[in-house]
This record gives sequence, C-alpha cells and structure tokens, in this order.
Amino acid sequence: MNTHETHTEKHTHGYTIYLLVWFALLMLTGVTVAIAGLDLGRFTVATALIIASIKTYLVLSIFMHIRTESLTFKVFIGVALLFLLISFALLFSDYSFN
Amino acid sequence: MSTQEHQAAHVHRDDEGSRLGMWLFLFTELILFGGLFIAYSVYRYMHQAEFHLAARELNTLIGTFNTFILLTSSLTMALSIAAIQMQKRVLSIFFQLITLLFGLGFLVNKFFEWSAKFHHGIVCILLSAWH
Repeated sequence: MNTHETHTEKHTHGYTIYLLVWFALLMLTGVTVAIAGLDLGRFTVATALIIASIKTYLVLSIFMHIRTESLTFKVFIGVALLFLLISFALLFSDYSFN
Repeated sequence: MSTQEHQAAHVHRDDEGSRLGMWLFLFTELILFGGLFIAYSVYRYMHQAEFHLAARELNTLIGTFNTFILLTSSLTMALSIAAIQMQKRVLSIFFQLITLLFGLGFLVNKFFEWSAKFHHGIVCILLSAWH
C-alpha cells in the first residue's frame, strides 16, 4: 500500500517538481550574481559557497534522483565527497602552516 | 526452443547496476574537477589581491547566461527522464533534442567568452606558445 502510494505520488508530481527546482536554481543564481558586486568582508566567499551547496543539494536530490534512490547511492556519494573534503583539508593545511 | 525460452527468461537486466556505473563515472569527474577547484582555491588564497583585480575583467553577463544554459539543460534532461518514466517516448526524445541544442548553445557561449580571454592575453602557457 505504502509503495503504491509513493509510486502514484511520483507520477502525479511528474514535471512540476522539476520546474519548481529549476526556478529555485535560477533564483539562487540571481542571488549569487546580485551579491557578487557587494563586499561582505570575510563572509563573501562563505555566502557564495553556502548558496552553491544548496544548489548542489537540489540538483543531486531532485534532478539526479538521489532522493528516491537506495541507501547505496547516498553512501557512495557521501564517501566520494568525504574524500574530496580530505584532499581539500590536507592541501590547505599544508599551505596554511607554511 | 525450450533453451531459447529459458534464456529469454534470464535476460540480464540490472538497472541499479547501470545507474551505479554512471555514478562511478561521475565520481571520476568529481576527482578531475575537484583537483582543479583545489588548485584554484589555493592560488586564490595565496594571491587574493590579484584574483580580486582579475575578477573585474570577467564578463558577468556571459557567465550568468552560461549558468542559465547549464541549469535549463539540466531541467530538460530531467524532464526527458520523467517523460520516459511515463512511457512518453516522443516527448522524451523532444526534451533530449532540446538538451542537445542547449549543449551547442553552451559551446557558442564559450566561444565568445574565451575569445575575450584571448584578446586580454589571458591564456595558459601551452596555448600561448602557438602564437
């Protein structure tokens, strides 16, 4: 029963959710462009990165269907991102302390 | 005849495996572009004033249009998958053609964006050796 419900829900929401996500992504891009000219001090890069993270999450979960995938896919992506983060942290610690 | 039927009943079809393969390919892209982003971050961190100055040379309009193309082609591809999930073949192909057109538009945009870079003389050493 439960699986049947989610199946029909997936079908009725069909195209609408993608259009909504696309609109949200465009709005977030607009925000990024709008604040690009402003100098928010040390928050400038942080703000851009936070907006980019929200956009990444939207694309991964909705456009690339990770929201409806099994746990295996989520773990795989988590591990891949973790390794990227480790590379970043190692290289930056090397440059920061020299 | 019976062996054919037997084989037909055991056609190997692993959708989850196929999707996982696609993701594995995307992880190699993540490592490739991740490496470039790490290099960019380190250089930006080390030469903040220079990066701030160089950013003024960038064309915000072309950059924004570039992002618009990428986001909209992502939408049309997602719509294409949604269409094929509802057994609408023609609509799915239509959305894929639109995605292809956006891909071509991306290249045209890149032509204009990179032409400006060449005019500014901002090219990597390997390419400038050809001039």
